[in-house]
Amino acid sequence: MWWKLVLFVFMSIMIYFSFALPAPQQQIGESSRIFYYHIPQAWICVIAFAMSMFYSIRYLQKKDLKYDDMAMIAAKLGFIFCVLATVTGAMFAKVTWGMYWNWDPRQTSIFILLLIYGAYFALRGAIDIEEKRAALSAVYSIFAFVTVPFLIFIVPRMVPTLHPNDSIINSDLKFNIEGAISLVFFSSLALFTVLYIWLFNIGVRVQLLLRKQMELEDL
Amino acid sequence: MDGNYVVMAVTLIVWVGLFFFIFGTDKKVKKLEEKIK
Amino acid sequence: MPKTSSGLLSRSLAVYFKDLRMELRTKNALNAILMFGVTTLTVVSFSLGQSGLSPKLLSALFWIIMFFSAMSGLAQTFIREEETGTSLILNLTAEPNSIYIGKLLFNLTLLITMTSIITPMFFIFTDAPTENILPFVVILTLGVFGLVSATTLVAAIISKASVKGALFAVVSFPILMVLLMVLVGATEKILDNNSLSSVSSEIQFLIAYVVVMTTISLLLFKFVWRE
Repeated sequence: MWWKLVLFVFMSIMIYFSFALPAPQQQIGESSRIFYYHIPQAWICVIAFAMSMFYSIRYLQKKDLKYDDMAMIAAKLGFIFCVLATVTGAMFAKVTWGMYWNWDPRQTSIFILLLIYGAYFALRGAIDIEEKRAALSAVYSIFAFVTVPFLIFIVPRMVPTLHPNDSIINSDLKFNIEGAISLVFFSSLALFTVLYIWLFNIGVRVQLLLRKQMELEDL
Repeated sequence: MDGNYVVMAVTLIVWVGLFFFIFGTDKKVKKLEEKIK
Repeated sequence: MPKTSSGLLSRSLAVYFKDLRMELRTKNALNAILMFGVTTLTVVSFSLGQSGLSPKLLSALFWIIMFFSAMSGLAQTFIREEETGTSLILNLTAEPNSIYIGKLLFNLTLLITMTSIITPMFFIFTDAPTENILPFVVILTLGVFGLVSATTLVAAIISKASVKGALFAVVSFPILMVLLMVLVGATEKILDNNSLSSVSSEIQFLIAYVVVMTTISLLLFKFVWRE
């Protein structure tokens, strides 16, 4: 119970400082504040997808539908955070590069991530039998995740990127994460992670309730 | 700087709304869990 | 097909030849895949005229034709097993690994046959430059291997779904998108008369892609097949 209060208070404090402190990157200016939100969202997106794949593997090992539920919830949350990261990224792109979307390597890779999980949900929707759905979507999730390293490590190197922090052509756009800025940034990262774990927990419990309800209806 | 405070206020309102929504859902789930036991 | 006496390769070949015989009898998949390729090619050629297309446009069109043709036929072999109910018998007579390799070889044969008909037609209809044909064939071969290595497992997954429809293309596309992006880039360079060494990083990528996708498919196939 107490940690929810801590989350509430600290997130509010984090939001306050993310706007009250001077902008994290002077050249980009005020819009660079989005990095306090965009990067934690992208981080959760990756964590959630990694968890989804982990539980998919667990399902294939144990054949326990509980793991399928967890993989599905993690994928759903990952998808939501992925959309948020894409939107905040596009907003930032509009302000700094003048275009919402220009198939920058980073945008391409996050777009493919969105497509993978869109296809994952489409596949789940097309299979009626629960065990079958669990096994097939687990296999797909693992298979699709294997292509992700190809995206992250190969595609951005083939074309120059405009994304700050790994930008080759304008290295002066690097963020200097130190002092108060680093404190706010890493607490944002931690708070988003706690928020995600909470949401994941609720999602799994709801799924468990639905399962129990179905069992009761069957009796 | 003024614009920052407007955005800050909006973000805070969204966060508070989101928090209470999640909090409420959590409570509802807990109630259902006790009922089904 | 005796299960114990022969090695993995001969059992895979047995599955492969069984599929090949079935295909030669009905020519279902080949017809679908070929007609789809010819149709898209005709539309492209008809609507864009014949000459003066840039390498960029040509390579994009070529891989669009390849992608959709592949999508129209590569799932056939698994769907046929499910529809005729022979997957159970196959399950008794061969283990997953050899079934996967057999099906992979079959899809490879199918796509190579289709490619060797469509590609000359593509060059004839669009008047694409042919000076650099050898590097083109190298990229094309790697591309065909890439397409097949990534979609055979997906085809197996799709054949078990109750609603098939357009699912195969939808589910394959995210996995193939990286491959297609690299292939379009490499083909563009080749059509622009660059040498093979200018696309060496792409070739490395393609080889890595084929190897990784085939290995992972082999590891995962038994979970799909046993469902």
